Amino acid sequence: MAALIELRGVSKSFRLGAQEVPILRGIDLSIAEGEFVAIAGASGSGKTTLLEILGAISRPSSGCYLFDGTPLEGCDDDALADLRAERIGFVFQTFNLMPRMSAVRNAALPLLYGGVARGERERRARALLERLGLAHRLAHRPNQLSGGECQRVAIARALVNEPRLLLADEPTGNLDERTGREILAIFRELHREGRTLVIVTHSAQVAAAAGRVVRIRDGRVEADGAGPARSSGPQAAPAHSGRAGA
Amino acid sequence: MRSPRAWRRLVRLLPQLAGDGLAQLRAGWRSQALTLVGILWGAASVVLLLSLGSGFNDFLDMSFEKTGLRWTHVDNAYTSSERGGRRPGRRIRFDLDDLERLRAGVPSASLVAAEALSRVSVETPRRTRATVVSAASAELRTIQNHRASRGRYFDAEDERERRRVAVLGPNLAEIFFGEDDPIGRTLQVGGEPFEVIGVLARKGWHLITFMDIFDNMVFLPLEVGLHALGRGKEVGHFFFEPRRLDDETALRGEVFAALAPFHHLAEDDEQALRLMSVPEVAGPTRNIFFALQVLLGVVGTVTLAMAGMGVANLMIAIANERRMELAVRRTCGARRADLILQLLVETLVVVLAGGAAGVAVGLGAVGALNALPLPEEFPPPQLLPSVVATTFGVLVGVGLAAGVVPARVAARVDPATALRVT
Repeated sequence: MAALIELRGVSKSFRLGAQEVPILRGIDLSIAEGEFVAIAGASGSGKTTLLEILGAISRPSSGCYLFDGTPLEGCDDDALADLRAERIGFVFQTFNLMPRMSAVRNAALPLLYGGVARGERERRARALLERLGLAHRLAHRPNQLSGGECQRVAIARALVNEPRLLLADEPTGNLDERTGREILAIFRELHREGRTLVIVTHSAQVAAAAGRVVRIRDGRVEADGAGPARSSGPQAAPAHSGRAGA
Repeated sequence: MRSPRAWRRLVRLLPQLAGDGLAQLRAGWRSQALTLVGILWGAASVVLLLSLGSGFNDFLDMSFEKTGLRWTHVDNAYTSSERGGRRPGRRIRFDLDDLERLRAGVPSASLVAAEALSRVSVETPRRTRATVVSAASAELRTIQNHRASRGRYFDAEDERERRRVAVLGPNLAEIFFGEDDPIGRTLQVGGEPFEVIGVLARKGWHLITFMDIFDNMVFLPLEVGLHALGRGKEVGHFFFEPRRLDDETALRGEVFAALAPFHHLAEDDEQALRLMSVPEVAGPTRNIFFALQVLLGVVGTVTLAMAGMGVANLMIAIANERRMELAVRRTCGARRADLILQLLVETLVVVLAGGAAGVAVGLGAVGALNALPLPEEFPPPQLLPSVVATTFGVLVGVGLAAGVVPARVAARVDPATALRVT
């Protein structure tokens, strides 16, 4: 299976005053199309920074990132924005919906930046929200929705541009257990459909749902292998091409 | 150069951003009320001040139109140098012979008229009133734009036939004859009877005399008028309608050459004749009025620009408050330029919303001032479509200027902010 994502010796550091603080240290990671990968690790281990790099919202300080075979280091800011608009979807822990927009308009947001016409934007967002069980909430604003409904709107927003890669940062972190299970079921279903999912999580339950778990510690890949439980999707076998970094 | 795809993207983006801006305004108008009032006040000031300036300008045009736009006037004065044994300080007195000399000797003028003004007692069987009476050549009707609202103004034939006819200023016609038709009625000037043949159209207050003198005068043909005023052949001044406005010097030279030998004027004693031309007076006056209009426009624009600074502050605060939203938009594919555009559009929405209300208030104020019984010498503000267009132009300029800094704040937002739990 061809790698959708390939990181080669990726490091990331931030400058704190005169000091250079390393966050990621020489990460090598390959994720194939259709994989469901959980990135786990303690707070401060660098997993969110890794997600930022995977989502093309942050650039590595060194190393190489290839998305679908194309190196991204030569891409300018607009090209990365277009990549996010067309090929990457994000789901956030705190949903991050636009408070003054209806569920439909929230879900349609990436299509706006993809240059899709208004009618088509709304049609596609509506269809996804209906599929996610929000047919009765289309015109509601985030403050009129429950946490689970908000996260489903956020998932619809992440999926509306039919991305090659879906990234989620603690997607069940702000939800109660039952709602968290519902959201996880949606991710499992998306995986069965062949989507590539990368989820940053603390939750053993979420990690268990993934076919592969990448553990990060002190900015390095500590372990990379099959999760405690396998998904039954088509890409259930671990595409174990990643290995611990230096 | 943008590609067709980029243009299509922009066209699809703009209405949505404008809609978002309106939604933002609707949701937050209470907290933005003070800023909106600032813009409203600024826009209303621009409309009112530009309308006042335009009214001043219009008033100037109308004022000169009322009394004629082109004429040159020659008044008698005193000699300032010695000539042929005559001492300086001698008063020059014009008469009917001078009129003929000027008609023959000033080819630069297409029309020449003489006039004598005296304040005398005018009587009708019902009333007597002391007022200014003009005895003038019929040509003065054309030179000074006199139009009759009733009857007619006297003409060259009336002058030739020495008809005792009179034209009344409209105020005087009302004083003497009230609601009755004055045409055909008789009045006595200097004890001599004159038949009223016309009433002058109202001229009102004007800039030549700073009063509404024409509306309160009696106009008589020159020679019969001079007789009634007891002036003999003596006239007070002459009017010239120049053939060309750009050759005032030639006209002055011809007037001096025609009169100097007969009044024993030294060759360099041009002060003995006081010449004044309307274009000469109107030019600087117009400049003053134009400067006033520019000043009013600048005052209005500065007011609006200060309100624009308030908007800029507000939008910077909004952009900072909405860092998370802007970061999420970036993760959804918004380019930096899209966020800049978004903040500019939102700023424009705020400015144009407040500005539209301000224009409405300004229009109301202009309407109210026009409805008030203002004194005649106070030019009412004049509302022109160009004033509204200029105001909206200024508003767009202020909106764009006010949006620049907030847009830069928005463009700096790191999309990774969206992943930081706050």
